[in-house]
Amino acid sequence: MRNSKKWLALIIASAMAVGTAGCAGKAKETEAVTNSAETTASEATVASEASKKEATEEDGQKAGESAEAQSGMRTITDSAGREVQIPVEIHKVAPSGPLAQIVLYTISPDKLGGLASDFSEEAKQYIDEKYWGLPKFGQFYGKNANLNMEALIAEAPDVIIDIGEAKKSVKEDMDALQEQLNIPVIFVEATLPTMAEAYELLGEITGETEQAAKLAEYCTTELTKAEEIKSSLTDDQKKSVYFGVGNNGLHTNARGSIHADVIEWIGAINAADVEAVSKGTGSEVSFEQVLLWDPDFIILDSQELYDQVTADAMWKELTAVSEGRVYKIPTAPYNFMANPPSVNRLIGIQWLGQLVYPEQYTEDIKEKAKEFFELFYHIDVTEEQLEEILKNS
Amino acid sequence: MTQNRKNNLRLAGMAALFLACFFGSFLLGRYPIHPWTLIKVLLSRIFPVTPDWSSQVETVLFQVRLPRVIMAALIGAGLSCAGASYQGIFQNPMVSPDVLGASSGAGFGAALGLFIGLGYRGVSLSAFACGMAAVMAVIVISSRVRTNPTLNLVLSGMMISSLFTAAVSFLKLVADPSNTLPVITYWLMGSLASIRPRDVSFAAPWIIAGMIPVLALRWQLNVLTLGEEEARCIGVNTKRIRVIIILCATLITAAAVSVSGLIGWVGLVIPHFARILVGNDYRKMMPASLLLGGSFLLIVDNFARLLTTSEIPIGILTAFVGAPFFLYLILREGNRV
Repeated sequence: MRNSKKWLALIIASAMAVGTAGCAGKAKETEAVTNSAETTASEATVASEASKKEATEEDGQKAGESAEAQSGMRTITDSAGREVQIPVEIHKVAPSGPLAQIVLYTISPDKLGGLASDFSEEAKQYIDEKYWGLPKFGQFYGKNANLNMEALIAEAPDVIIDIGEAKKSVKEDMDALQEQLNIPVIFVEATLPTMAEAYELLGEITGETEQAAKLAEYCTTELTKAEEIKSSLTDDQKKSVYFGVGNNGLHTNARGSIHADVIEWIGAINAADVEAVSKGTGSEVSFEQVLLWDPDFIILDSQELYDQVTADAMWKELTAVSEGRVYKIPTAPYNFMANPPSVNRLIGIQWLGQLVYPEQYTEDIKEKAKEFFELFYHIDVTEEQLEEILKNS
Repeated sequence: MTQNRKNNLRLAGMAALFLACFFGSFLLGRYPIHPWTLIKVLLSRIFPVTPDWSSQVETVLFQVRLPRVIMAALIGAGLSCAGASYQGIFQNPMVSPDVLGASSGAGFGAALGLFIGLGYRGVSLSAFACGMAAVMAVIVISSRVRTNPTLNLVLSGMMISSLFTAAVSFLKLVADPSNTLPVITYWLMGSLASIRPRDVSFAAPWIIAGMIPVLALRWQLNVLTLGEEEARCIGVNTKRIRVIIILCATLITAAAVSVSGLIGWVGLVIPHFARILVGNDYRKMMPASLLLGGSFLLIVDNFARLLTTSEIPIGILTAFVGAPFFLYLILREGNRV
């Protein structure tokens, strides 16, 4: 299936590549660069945003209630401080990107009006077939900014929701999109520390308050637990973790990359400490440098990479490899560490935590994963599926 | 006569520079190895020396550093050799090894290999094959045209090139942005960071096999630059020479690109350095290009691996380091005249 799709893509490539391909590549590259810069900026605004939101929300609510009766609309203040009119009853929401797609799916898959990107073959095993064929809109921000506005309008969602970090231009971007499409667009800020708030706001928007509250509570509990463990660790308990990606393991999500956040969340150290110039996703390093870092643990983001590294005599020079502390990051339905950096990282913290700090993270990862999958992905995974997900992990 | 001697001296100087770069690079790296340890490790290959160093040192030297240094030297020399050949054939100083589509073809081959998830060897093979195929297509297309063979070669080369470039962009568009896309992007930027012994055994024979005929045909290249008619009068089969040189230059380029990714600039500018230093005579200029190209890439690669903790793609550095230096040379030469 996957292969035949790829070949189809290739045939199209050779037949009609000339026209379409030009600018997309550039956009992706610049996005990768800007990503890391935004991380810090948005974190700083979290606190002020939150307090502002509380203040404005109440005003908005009062004004909205009186108007509701006549127009069937209510006012929501989003994380960017914008006041947006949305219908009282929300039946269909559209995600603006894969991150929003995951989060909205966890709240209410039935209200999902379309997809930003297709579910991967691996993910499909854990996602009900009825959602596979939802219309695909592409995404508004990011590496593949290719939002198909007409498809989006044709689907006529009640509201479009963007979830993620606040880009500097978020207000303008959201306003522009809303004006162009004439569909309410809401931005919900969601980084790990603001995840619970994000769920509460999303519950209010979609009307799925019960599920949202459950998820928010899970986020708060797990993150508080992780923070407690982190602060209880002494310096000599700190372990270093190397996060290998790419096709030879010599690309890494270095310290400071949002994709490697989980490592710091559990209180470990990202072995790859590189200069600010090349911070971000997939910095390339030399094997000599990896030898120098000599990490305590190595995590790799694909089975191919895992096979390659564990079989290679050169990598055996690393203590982590020779002593068998190499692990494959579970990737179903979404990568536990990142890609996209969303709620999937909550289980990632549990997973990496019990590997690196088994004395602190004492809960059984299988039970944890089962609970997480049931709560967030609405599925009851079987024992075999769990085995498969956590293979080599 | 004196000019000739001066040039010979300069060539000897370049050879010395090349050797210094080669052995110097061997000493440098992120992993600190004391020069004395280095000598001992090297000697231990020939004489029985009891190892008092960790096995990591040996891995770094023989699995990581040695192949990388060899490949940097070969690729630098190869690309400048290919560039000089193309410039001679087309009698155009603006020509670089990608003129007939070898680089963009190889780039497409690699992107395709990465996209459909071929293994490491598969990607190199696919890059090599597509690079060769691109140039073959160019040669076949242009041979259908009777008039002005050179111009048609260049034109069809440009078209095939842009076709492959567009195909690469399309692959990037449909590639998975979380893992496949960054790999393709990095590959296209060019890097020697992941060079392993297997890459040397894969690409080195092709590069060397391409260099030998080019070096042997330096005199004929000289004649070709006189022009089509004159060359024929002297009794040189221009058509055959041209095809042989193009094939060799392509072989070198495709093999180099297939293991290192796209490294621009070297093949365009190093031949000019060589020309400035030893003149237009290909008998001197070609060896000079080889030596300078090898030294240049060795030096730049040392920057790529030493400047920061992470690697800097060498394709970016070649331009950053080389272009200003080249401009300086142009200005200096211009003032002297």
